[in-house]
Amino acid sequence: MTSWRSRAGLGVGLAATLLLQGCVTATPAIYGPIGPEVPYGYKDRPNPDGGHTVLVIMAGHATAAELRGFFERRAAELCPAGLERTNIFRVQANEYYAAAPYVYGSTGVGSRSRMGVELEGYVYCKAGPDVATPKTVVEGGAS
Amino acid sequence: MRKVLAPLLCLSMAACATVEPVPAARPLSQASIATMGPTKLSVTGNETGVAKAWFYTEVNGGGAGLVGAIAGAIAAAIINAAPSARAHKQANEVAEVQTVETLNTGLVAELKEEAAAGLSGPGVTFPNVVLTYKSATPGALDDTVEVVTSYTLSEDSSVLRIVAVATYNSAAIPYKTPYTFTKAVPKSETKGPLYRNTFTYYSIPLPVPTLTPELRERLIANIRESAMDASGALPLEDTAEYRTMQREIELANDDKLTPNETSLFLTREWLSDNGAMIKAEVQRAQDFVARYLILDINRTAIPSLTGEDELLETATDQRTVRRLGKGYEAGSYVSSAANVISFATYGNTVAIAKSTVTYIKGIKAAAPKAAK
Repeated sequence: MTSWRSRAGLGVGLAATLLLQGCVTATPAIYGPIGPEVPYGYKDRPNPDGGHTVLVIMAGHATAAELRGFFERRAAELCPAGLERTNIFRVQANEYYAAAPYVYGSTGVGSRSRMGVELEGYVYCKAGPDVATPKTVVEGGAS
Repeated sequence: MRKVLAPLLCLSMAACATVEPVPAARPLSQASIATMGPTKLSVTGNETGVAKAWFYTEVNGGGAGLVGAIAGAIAAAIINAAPSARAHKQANEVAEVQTVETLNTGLVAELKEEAAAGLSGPGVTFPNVVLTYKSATPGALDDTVEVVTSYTLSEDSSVLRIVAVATYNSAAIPYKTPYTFTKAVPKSETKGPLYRNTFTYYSIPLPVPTLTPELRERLIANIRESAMDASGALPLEDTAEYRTMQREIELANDDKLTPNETSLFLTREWLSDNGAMIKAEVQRAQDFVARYLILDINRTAIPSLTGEDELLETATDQRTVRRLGKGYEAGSYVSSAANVISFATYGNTVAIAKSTVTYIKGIKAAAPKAAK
């Protein structure tokens, strides 16, 4: 009995260590476009008003500053002639609430964790060569 | 046993796999719009006021038997005492400057104004805008567009979020899904309102303070002040209040400013100048809800799960209004402040002001008299 308990304890200890290592060794997202195999990075599309919508997705441990870093970098790439303005309208943490678990012979505490973080905003370029929107939209509809 | 379990497992898995998702928004069809014409609009009286979000930590002591269950309940009470007390205190303070009554009458006024401007137009119009408290008049109203609202201060009090959900039910015109399904039509798509959409407004976020030694001192002073009784005395040692205060001070002394701690500073900012900031945000949110509800009720485009967001409006302060294009929320409207810089979370529970609860009780108590 003692042997079984000590083995179980060792197993739990190892699992906990591995889990903790998983948290500690979380690596920062690599800058690049999101794709079928790449869940984290940026994604953008041109808008009818001449601007671009840029979305940045990172793992739950990432900070708002890291998200902004990707956004600003992508904005600079989209606007080689310079930025007219940007507008970040969404900075969101997708949270998961785990109910308190039933732990045999003990108490369990409910927890919350971030499954992912997202930032989305608009990018408007200064007049000049624009890599993603070749057409020019004149405000007011006049052309 | 296996013979029973295996089919059950298959059935449960199949049930999960066959539900085909559709957006929550339900636009009206042209035929429904023509049938409805002038329609009654009812603002469902909000009964929570500006609620304060906080996170309730659940504790399960059941694993240790009855003693464990009791210990778990006690542990939950201790863990949650401080954040709950803070959230309720803040909800009480906010309700002093922004009452539930003014929230409701304000939305009715905005909708009346917006509806009056569109009365001569074709399609669905709202000649009659009323306020209905569900506590007094429970149940869905037939042939009436109903608007349900929630006003929530985020956990750190940096953002006020206002959500309005509009629905229209009619016994004469049952809902018929516009979507095609590869298998059977999901049960959820065979019933429910003929029209439904959501309008969400996020206030301008208040900047979250950085933790400095000075701020930590202010936080501890605030905790002590909150723990004082009416005569200004701190709780006696060996009391639950004293232990709660000590635990809060311990937490305040770490190097992290939690959203709950941050809210102590930011809620005060909302309250300054007799709540001018919160009142301005509520009015702007209600104007957004009124304008876009009246536009959307006559819009027939069916949202899809895979569309793109549309930018509908950019105000002079760069606030934007978007119609979401994909996922469950497709078709819904979001008004967002410009240049958001940090996360705002809304926990898993809310605190409601005492004055709000009392006000709603009064409405409920008066209901039978009014009906006589």
